[in-house]
Amino acid sequence: MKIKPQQYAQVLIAGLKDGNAKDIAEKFWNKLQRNNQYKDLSKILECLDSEYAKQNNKILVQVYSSKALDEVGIKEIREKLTKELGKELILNNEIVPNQTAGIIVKIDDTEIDLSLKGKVNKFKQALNN
Amino acid sequence: MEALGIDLKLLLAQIVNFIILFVVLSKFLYKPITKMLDEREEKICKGLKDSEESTKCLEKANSESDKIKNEAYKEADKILVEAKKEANEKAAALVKKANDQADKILKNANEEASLAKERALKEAKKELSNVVVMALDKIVGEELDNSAKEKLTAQAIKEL
Repeated sequence: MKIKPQQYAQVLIAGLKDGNAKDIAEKFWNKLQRNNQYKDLSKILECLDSEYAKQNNKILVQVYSSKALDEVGIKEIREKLTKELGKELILNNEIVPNQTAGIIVKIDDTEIDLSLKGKVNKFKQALNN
Repeated sequence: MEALGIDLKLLLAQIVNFIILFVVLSKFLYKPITKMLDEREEKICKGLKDSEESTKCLEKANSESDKIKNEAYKEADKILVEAKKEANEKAAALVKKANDQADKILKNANEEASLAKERALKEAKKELSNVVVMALDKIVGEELDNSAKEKLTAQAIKEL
């Protein structure tokens, strides 16, 4: 039976809280192998972050940028979003080299595109409308 | 009488002869002729009367004929007027229909022309925006240095 990435994430978090991390990791890899679900690994890791945030009453925020953001930038984003959302954040900065400049912020299903490419696309849409 | 040279016997014989002649003539000549003349007169009177009646009949027939002709003319005029009226109405309806159709065709043509114009403008706008975006992409992709990129990222964080 195929297990969904979210279910893997939930089981992993529960296991890591209670048991030995090494045993849990071994069982997890064996299960992935048996079910031939290595390709779902990235999705499982994404779900792991979001599930962890959900269980700890936090909000998962992904910030995509072309280069790693400095501490000042991260701090500024965290402060603004904490104030806006009223909850503590788990903030991940993912590097996307082909994103020219600017940032894309993803909060659950909401995406705020402040990248240069996004602005160009908005400009293109405005021109077409 | 004799002194006057009148022979009484001869006179009497002549009187008797005259009477006999008068009787014979009146019986065998005057009466048939008178009768024939009366019949003739009656025939002529009848002919005249018949002729008069014929004339009256002819006049009556002529008058009747005139009356019928007048009525026929009136009826023909009436039919002609109605036919003209009907023809005019039909012609007016045909003209109206043709005008309506022409208006409709013109309206459709105008609508199509304005749609085509709108489409052309939209296409031109799209092409122009594609060119602008391509130029922007090129500038953004190739021309920006690291400092500009960092500046833009910092600005994006401020916009958040």
